[in-house]
This record gives sequence, C-alpha cells and structure tokens, in this order.
Amino acid sequence: MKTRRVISYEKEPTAIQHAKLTGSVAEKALSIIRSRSLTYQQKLRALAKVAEDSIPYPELSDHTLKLMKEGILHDLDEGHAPYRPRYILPDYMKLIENGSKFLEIEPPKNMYDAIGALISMYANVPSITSYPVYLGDIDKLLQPFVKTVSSSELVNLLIMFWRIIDRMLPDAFVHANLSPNDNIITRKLLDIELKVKQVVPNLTLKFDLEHTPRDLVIKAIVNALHLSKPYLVNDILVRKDWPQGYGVASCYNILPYAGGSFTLIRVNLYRIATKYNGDIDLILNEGIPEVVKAAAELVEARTSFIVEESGFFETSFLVNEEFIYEDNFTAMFGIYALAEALEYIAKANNLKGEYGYDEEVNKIAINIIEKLYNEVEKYHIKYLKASNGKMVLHSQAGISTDKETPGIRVKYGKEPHPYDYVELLSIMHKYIKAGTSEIFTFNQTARHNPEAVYDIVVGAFKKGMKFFSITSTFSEFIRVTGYLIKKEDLEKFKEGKVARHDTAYLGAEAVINQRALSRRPLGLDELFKLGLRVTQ
Amino acid sequence: MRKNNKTRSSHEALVAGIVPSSFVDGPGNRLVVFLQGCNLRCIYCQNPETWDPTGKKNPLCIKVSLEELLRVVNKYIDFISGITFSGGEPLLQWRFIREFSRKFKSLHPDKTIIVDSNIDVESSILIEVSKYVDYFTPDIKAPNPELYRKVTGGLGNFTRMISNLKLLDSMGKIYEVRLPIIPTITDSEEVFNEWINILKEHVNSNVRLRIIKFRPHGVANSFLKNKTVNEEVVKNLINMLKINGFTNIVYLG
Repeated sequence: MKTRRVISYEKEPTAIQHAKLTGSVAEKALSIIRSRSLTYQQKLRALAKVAEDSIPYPELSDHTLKLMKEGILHDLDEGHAPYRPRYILPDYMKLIENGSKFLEIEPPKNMYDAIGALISMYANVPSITSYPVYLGDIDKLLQPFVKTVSSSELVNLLIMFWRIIDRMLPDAFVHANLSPNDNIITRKLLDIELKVKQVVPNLTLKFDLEHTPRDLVIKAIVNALHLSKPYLVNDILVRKDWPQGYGVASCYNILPYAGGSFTLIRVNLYRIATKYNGDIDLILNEGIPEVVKAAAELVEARTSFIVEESGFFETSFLVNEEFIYEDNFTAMFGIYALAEALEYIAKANNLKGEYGYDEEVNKIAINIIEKLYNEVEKYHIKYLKASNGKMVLHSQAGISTDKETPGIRVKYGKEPHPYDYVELLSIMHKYIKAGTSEIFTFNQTARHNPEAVYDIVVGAFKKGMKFFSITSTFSEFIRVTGYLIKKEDLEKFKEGKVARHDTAYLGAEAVINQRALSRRPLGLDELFKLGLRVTQ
Repeated sequence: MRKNNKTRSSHEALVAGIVPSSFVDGPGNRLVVFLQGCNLRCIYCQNPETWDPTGKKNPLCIKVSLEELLRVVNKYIDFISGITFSGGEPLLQWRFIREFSRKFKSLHPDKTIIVDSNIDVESSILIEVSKYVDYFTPDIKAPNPELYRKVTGGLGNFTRMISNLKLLDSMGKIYEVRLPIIPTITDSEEVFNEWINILKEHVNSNVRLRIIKFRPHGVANSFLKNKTVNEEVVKNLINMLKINGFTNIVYLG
C-alpha cells in the first residue's frame, strides 16, 4: 500500500501561500484543489484569491514598486483588487436595537433571539480572511436579555453561542471584546472559556483603571495565564485615541467602531537598517521618509480601489443599514523587526548595548518610532476619515513566514524585566494608536498569585502602556504571532492531518521566557542608579 | 541573644539586598528588602551571608537610610501591593521596620507591609511592630524543642517561637505559615503528625500553609549536600494536612 507522504508544516503551502505559487492561474488553482491538508472552505477561499490576483495590481510609481521589491514595504498579500475592507467592526448594538432588514431579523426580544441574531450577522461580515474579525462587546450586546432566561439556561446558551462561534468561524483572528463594566455575561463567559478551551474566539477585556473591578480583572488574568487570553486594553487611554469608540479586532488591531481599516501595509525596519548600513542619520532622514511616502501611495491606491471601484460602500447592507460608515475607516501602517534593526544598528555603530536593556540603544528605538509617527502624519489620504486622513501606526504581530521579531517587541526569550520593558514600551505606545502586542510571560509563581500579575498590569497602564498581553509557561495554548493555537492542533498539522482551524496552519513559535520574572536582586550598578552605594 | 545582635537605629538599616519584584513573598507583586543579620543558624539556610549582624563579610551589604529606602520604593510603587522585609531575621532591626512602616503606611495606606520573620524574638517586639505591619509569614522549622534546636544551630527557643505563633494568630496577623521539608530532619510522617498537632493547637484551620521543599542550592551545611526531598513525601504531607482540615495549601514545587 502506498503511504501518503507526511509534509512538514513549514513546507506545506498555506491557504495564503498557495496564491504565491508560480505558474498559470490554472496551475495554481489545481495545486490548491489537489491539496491534501486543506478543508473545502479553505480551498474555496484560496481559489478566490488566485482569481483576484489574476487581475493586474493597482498602478504604483517606480519608487513604491522598488521598495516593495526590496522587501522593505509589504502589502501583506491582501490581493490585487480588494473588494472589501481588511477589517470591519460593525455596530452590533444597532442589530440588537433595530434588527436588520437585509437579514430579515426582527429586534431581539429575548436571549435566544439575541444570540441567533448575532450568529446570523457574523456569518455576513466580511474581512480579509472572509471571517468576521470583530464580534462586538459581547456583554453589552447580551446584557439587556439576561432576565429573559433562568441562570442555568443562560449558561447553556452562552456555551452554545461560544461553541457555534468556534465551529462556524474556525479562525483564531475572530475576536470578541468584553466591555470594562462588570456584569454577569462577562463573568460567565470567563468561566466558560476555561471550560471549553477554544482558541476561537480571540478575546479582549477592556480594562478601565477607574471602573473595572479588581476581582474581575484578576479573574481575567487567571484565564490569561491558562489560555493566553483575554488580552487587556487600557480603556481610558485608548478611548482618548478613538473618541468615536473602538474595538479590538483580529490580532491586536485597535480600530474605530462602526468602521475599521481598509488595509494594512507593513514596513520591515530591519531591511531599512541594512539598506543604509546601520547609519542612524540616513535611516531617520532617508530610509523612513522614503518608505512612508511609498506606503502612503500604496494605501491610497488600495483604499481608492475599495471605495471607488469595488462598489462595497454602495451595495453592502452593513453600509446601507448604518452598521458601518465609510467615514469611520482608517488604514494601518504596520511596522515590524525593530529588534533586528537595532541589533544591526548597534553592531554597525560599535554599540555594546542591547535593545531592551541599554539606554542608548533604547533611545535609538524611540527615535525611530517617533520619526515614523512624524512622517506618517505628513500624508493626507483621501478616504482615511476616521483618522483625519492619516494612516495610524500599528506594531504588526507578524505572519507565519517571518523570521523577524514582531512589531516593536524585544526578541523572544530576551525580554527585559517587566518593569524595564514597561518603561520602554510606555514611551513607544504613545505613538501607536492601532494596536501592539508585546507578550509578558509569567511562570508557575503567578499561578498561585495572579494578584501579582494584576499589580504589574496596573503599573504598566499607569505608566502609559495601552495594551498588555499575558501568557505563561503553563498555558495550554501557544501564541503564534498574533493569535492562538492549541498545542495539540499544531502536532496534528505536523503529522500532516487536516486541522479544522485555518490558523493552525500558520506555523508556531513557543514563547517561553522563564527569565522575565525571576526573583532577582538589584545589582550594584542598579543600586547605584537608585542613589544607594555599598558602604562597607 | 548574642552580644553583637544589637538592634540598629530607627533611621538606618543594614540591607543585604533588594528584590524589586517577587511573586512569592506575600500577596501580589512585592518589593523585598533583605535585612542583614540573624539570631539563628539554620542548617538549611540558603543565605548564610546574611547571618553576620555587622555585614562585614557580605560584599553586597549596604547601609540605607529610611528616606533612601522610601525613594527606592517610590520608583516601583505603581507596580506593587506592598513591601516584604526578609533576611536574615528582619526583626533584629525592628526599630527601623517600625519607623519605616509607620512612614510608609501614612503615605500609602492601601499598600501592605509583611515581615518574613522566624518569630523567635521577644513577643513585645512583635506587638510593637504590629502597629504598622500588616502580616507576618512565620515558619515552623521543626515541631518540637529538640528538633528545633538542632535545625536552628542550637540557638532557637521553641517555646518562645510557638507562643508567638499563637499570639500572631490571635491578632489576625498571619499571612501564611511555612513548613520547610528538610531531608532526614523534617521529612518523616512522625514529624508531619507533630506539625499538624502544633498547627491545630496554635493557629486557625483556614490558615494559608506553604510547603517549602528543601533545595540543596547555596546551603552552607555540608551535611545536607546532595540530599533532596522526594515529591511523594510532599504529596503525603499535603494529604495529611487536608485530612486534618487544613485545605488552604500552597506548594510551588
């Protein structure tokens, strides 16, 4: 009997990578159809991508094409002819209040109606992956109906709701939010999360330092230590960034509510550093300005295509029924590989220090982010009305094929002490409005003392960090770039079996950092910095 | 007490080290201040450099004024639930602890002070510092006078320690009681039973108990070198405690 070859997960082309295969449209399509590790739905989407990419790319200047060819500027393989915004964050509250004519949904009267309405709507919200990347503040949406069911019915219904989300939308970029207000829905969902152990939906708790109760946040932290979610957002600061309201979508994208982001492009900071041989002046004054100029052109071309050519904003029921407004859309300027850029720059300039530890190197990092922000602010792009025509900075969590470190993170396993990391990040977060995702890994000692993690989060938020992502050395899920996979799913894929979740295919990186929270005494140099000295 | 165990001033401390973040020295994230000097000589001690009350043999030992320590603490204040004084035996410098805690609590009434003491000290000292200290984390190094003397290098006063345990429990000042399992000394069922009897007699059954498994790392006494405690032994103690109504047990492995 012929044994099927087991393909390693690194080499198997993913749904996205299929579209990168060379050859004619027919050859690419056939390769997808013949794949033994994609489900029917996954094949369908990959085939659609091949069709889209048979259309010529929007016209771009030589300057921009050159930077794309150099690997400095990426379009994240969004497709040649975008026909929907990349991330859509509908105002689901409108569905709860008014129902939907297009979907023939009456305003819900009880918990059954409400959950049914939401599930029906989720299936009709597009995105770059075709799955809805934002599910709303679930507690706020369901809270009005709590009294329509008994408490045991409520739990059963929420479990059903959560299972359907996972089984119908098997994509770890599908992201639910919980509002900063304490309520029974949030508490029950956190219990259910621990029970059902699903990577879908991804989850964020909005944490308002003044109003969210301490015990609720600690409950969420216990979950995060075991499941690497929810992820905590500094609600007070982020509300100031997006006065029109915000939601957290996909992998750590913080975007305007009832709108979203047309597109996400990203810039490889390491490639800029190498192009200019680590010369700090040239990187700041040539490398960054030229790539921002190119990015602005690329974003303008892509957004104009969506708005003017695709007809999305003329035909979608989401627009017609005002679940979203064209005016609430922005576009994201993603950055990554800051760690590698600094490693290279430090070496080129004979600096001994490391990013995350050395003040001089950290200062260069801050200068780079500041410069990026100032350059991005110079360009006005017609359709980005949610952000006054400006692109918004996003610390991009990476894609499966990356060898570089996501966003502005310090390299895996090299993260400094949380206090020092917070100090550095809180400065950089000021400039990053559209989400970032540095991960703090805690060890076994946190299991018995989640209050300690709470203390660190509070300290971080008081210092100005906007987002805080927790995982632990004992978590059941592995965080891969910006989303989660089950350890067992990864094993399945390595063995060449079909995995139900799209995102299980996208490779993995285990982030185990025992050092981050070691009980380490201050060294002599640190004591000296604090004004203390050895007197013996 | 030994002659040179004089208590230091209320405004200056001899500090053996500062840990800015600890998850294992009380509730929440805590800054830990290790004070120099100890009245006991425990055979399993992992910080023998903190024994000498003059600190002359500890190259990392520093003199810190009350104001300086407040300044250091202030740098981390947003990140911590409070401060833990450990050692050595921190209460050898009880005047400093009392003054620091008084000042600290007036500035940060929502933060806690914990003293990680062997509580083998005059009970008047415990009563005095309790005015400003929230909790203590005593250990029962051994459950009977003979064994206790052996474990503490011949210097411990079992009766005093155990009556202080009851005193602190009655004052509601115990955060957790620690039980150190030391190979060949406190790792037998016989000792476990005695521990349980002591606990029943002196503290509330809902007390938080932390089992500490001996680790050979850094131990001064050659007698314990290369000796370890089997995981089964720990499990057995936890079981025995639970059967006897002590359910609030923490073991970090």
